[in-house]
Amino acid sequence: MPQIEPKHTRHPLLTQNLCLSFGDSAVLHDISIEIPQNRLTVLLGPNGSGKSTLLGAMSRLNRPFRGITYLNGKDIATQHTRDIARKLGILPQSPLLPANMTVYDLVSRGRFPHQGMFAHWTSADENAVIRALEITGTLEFSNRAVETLSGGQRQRCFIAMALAQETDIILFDEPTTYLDLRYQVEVMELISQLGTQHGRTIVAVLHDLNFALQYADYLVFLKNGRIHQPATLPQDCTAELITAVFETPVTKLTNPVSGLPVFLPLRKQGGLKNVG
Amino acid sequence: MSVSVTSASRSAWPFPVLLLALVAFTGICACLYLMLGPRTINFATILNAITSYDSGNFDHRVLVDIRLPRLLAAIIAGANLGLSGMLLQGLLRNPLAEPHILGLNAGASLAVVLTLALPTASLAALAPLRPFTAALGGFVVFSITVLFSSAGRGGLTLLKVTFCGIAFSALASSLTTAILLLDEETLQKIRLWLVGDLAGVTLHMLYASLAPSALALVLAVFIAPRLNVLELGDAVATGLGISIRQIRFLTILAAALCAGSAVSLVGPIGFVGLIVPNLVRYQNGNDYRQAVPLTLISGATLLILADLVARMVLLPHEIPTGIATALIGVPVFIMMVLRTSR
Amino acid sequence: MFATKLCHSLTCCLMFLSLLVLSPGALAKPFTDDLGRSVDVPETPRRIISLYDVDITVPLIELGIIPIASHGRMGLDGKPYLRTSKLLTGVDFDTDNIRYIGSTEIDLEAIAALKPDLIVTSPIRATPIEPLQYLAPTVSLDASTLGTQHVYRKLAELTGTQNRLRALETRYKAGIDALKSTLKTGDITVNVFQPLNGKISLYHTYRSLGRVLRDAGFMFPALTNNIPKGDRIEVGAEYLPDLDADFIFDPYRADRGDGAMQERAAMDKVFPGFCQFLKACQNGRYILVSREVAISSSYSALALMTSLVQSHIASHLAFAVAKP
Repeated sequence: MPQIEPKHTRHPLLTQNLCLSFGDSAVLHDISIEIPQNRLTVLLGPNGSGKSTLLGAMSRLNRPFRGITYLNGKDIATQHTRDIARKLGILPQSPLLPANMTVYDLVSRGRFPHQGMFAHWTSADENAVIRALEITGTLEFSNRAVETLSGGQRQRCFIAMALAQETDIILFDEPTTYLDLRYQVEVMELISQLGTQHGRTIVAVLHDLNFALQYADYLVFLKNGRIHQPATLPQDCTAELITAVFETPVTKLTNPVSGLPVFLPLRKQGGLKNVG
Repeated sequence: MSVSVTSASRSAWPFPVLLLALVAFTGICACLYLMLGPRTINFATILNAITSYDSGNFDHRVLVDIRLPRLLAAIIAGANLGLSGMLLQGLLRNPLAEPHILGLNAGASLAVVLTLALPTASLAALAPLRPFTAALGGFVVFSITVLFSSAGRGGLTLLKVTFCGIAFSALASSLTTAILLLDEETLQKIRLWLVGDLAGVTLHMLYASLAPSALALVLAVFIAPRLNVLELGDAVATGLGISIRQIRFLTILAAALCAGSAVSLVGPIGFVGLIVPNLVRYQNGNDYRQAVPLTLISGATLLILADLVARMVLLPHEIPTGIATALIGVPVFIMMVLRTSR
Repeated sequence: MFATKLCHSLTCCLMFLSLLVLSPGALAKPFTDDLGRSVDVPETPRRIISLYDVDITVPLIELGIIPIASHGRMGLDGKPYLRTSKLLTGVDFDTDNIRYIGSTEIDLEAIAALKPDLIVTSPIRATPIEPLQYLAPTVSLDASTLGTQHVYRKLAELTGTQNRLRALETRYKAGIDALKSTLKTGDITVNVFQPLNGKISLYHTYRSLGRVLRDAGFMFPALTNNIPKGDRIEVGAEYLPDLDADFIFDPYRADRGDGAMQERAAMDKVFPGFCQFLKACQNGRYILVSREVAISSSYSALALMTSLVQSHIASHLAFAVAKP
């Protein structure tokens, strides 16, 4: 296991002892994680493990009752929401899509935190939007209404909006849900580049374990609202770890092209009922 | 990839052209409004009334004392009703949101009737404050609506807020009716006002409505860019640096101020707040910053035309303006629904 | 138990018989009311109950018949009154022996207890005729569509007071004749309107005031004559010049201390400085008339209106020459 340097300055985003509950039921217990800079960190865990809630707590969408999220070394709760929006962007799981909105129009909404009282459209705004359109490959249809695009193109548009916000940190909540395989690949290829090629710190909640393993720089495993395994490299994941987290027997294979691990479930007739 | 893309929308007309065209059209409607009526007054007389006003000239008096205050009332009330509808539609992300349906108008009416039913001694003191009284009534009723519809599972949904709006609107209306049944004198004074009518608008009422209207407009200019991102959902909006609570409070406040100014001037008039923002969206797309001036102007124009119809359609009868807005509003609304559902 | 019941029924029968035999109006005559029902009514009814104060009770009193009970209104002081009656007939619940039987809700038990020999109601009353006609012969008279004169005729026929009606009618005609003989009514234009919610409510024939003006042969502006008979319209302030006449009558609330000032303020709200643009007002011929009297259709109101119109117009014409 690699040692992640615990310096606050090295970590633009980290949490300390986060505890969060909805009503009477506690959802997060004592979560402390550090997000590596300019890397793609993926939060993984079974349903109800608290991954989306944690993402929300890291982006001030959810308010913890104890613990602190540090954004650039400062408590996020003490920062103005608009200042946060210039440093940290979040793309929630199912954003609403207004009718008749063009791609350009949608992406330009990401510039909101940078605009003043009378919202003058500056060349900086224009450049940010164009760059976001270029990176996501949506420039060619920027004049079309978003609702007329395919699911993958649509998701790329929303990612472009998050990019246009020009924040160092971007959080994605299940960006590939409801997408076909082809579009999942399309979106993950894009997101995985953002860290290394475009200097962004990315945190994503993903559903699909094997996808996460192929694209993530680091993986964080959650279970029952607790950190089960802190930031881990994909190649260090073992079948025991995955079986324990998902409470399902799996076997480890290796992707012959990338050399990264792939986990397959074992059928119950296979006689491994008692594992885990 | 420059400004031409920014204004990409369904309209063939770029925003500045559309705005100018609308201003010009409103100007023409305003002139027609001043010229037409039971007596036709030609344009020369209008100019004459401006340059050398003669208080003994009946046409001059009709222009300055009757048609001009009424025109100004139509402009202020129409712009306010349109803006109120736009704000509510943006807040609830529902094109069917409207001050009339959601109970703002009923709340405003209730507040006005309540203060009118008070002893006459306090009445005079309250008259200049009436737009604020009305706004307070609308604000209270709609806040209760939002509170109730936010309770329970799933938080605030369109369906819940609409049902609650209709329910509290009905409650406020029946309270108004109850007060009026107990107090026949007040009923006589405002029976026609409750239908929504521009007849009998005075300059004092106009002056009184200016402050709340201006306040609402300032708020709307602040709110509009925020509604642009609120459209994408509460989570996206929060991520972009918007405080949902603050924006909800300010939007309801602004919408209530608008409805209050309009209701105190002309009574509870429906349809303007529903149709105008939808027409603007249909013609100019989703940008609320551009929608603010377009909605103000279109709302004013619609009410000018509706009142012209009210004054002219059944000469020598004059029908209440509220009935004329419904006469114009219903077919326009049906056409709009049919076109969007295609 | 059975005995008491039998006894009770017997008493009822006896009472009923005694009513038939003993009452002076026992001789029945057929009468067709305004709903087209044929009802056998007493020859001369003595115990009449009226279910409508303005349209039935006041005409009855004018015909010299005091009903034993009547519909009325409940005052703010908790005392019932007959609308316009004290002012026009001098009779009310507290001046004569008339029982109050309710305003919107009519007390059927009270009616039964009073043992009437005739009940007169109107089609616009909420109380159905069905239960009433078990208590006494019931007729319905329709003043709102067939007019007050018709109701006076029918009531006179019912109560045998045709002579009294003839006298009232003669007095009215004489008044109109006197008016016509002192004034050239055909040369004088008149109009009746009042401000209402920022508009002007204009009447073709405003009750007794309108009837006097029409019967006397005065001329009205075209706008007024174009209104369907008996109807009214609401017009905007811009019609002010079309409303002008030699004499304008404005029925105002004379039952309030500041009624006249309020009326003027209401007109000023319709059109600021309206007086300037009405010849009638400029010449002091904008005449405020008590709405309570003008709105009644009784013969007393007609007499008052006749004399009011006559003296106002006559004095203005007589002193008009004195004006520059």
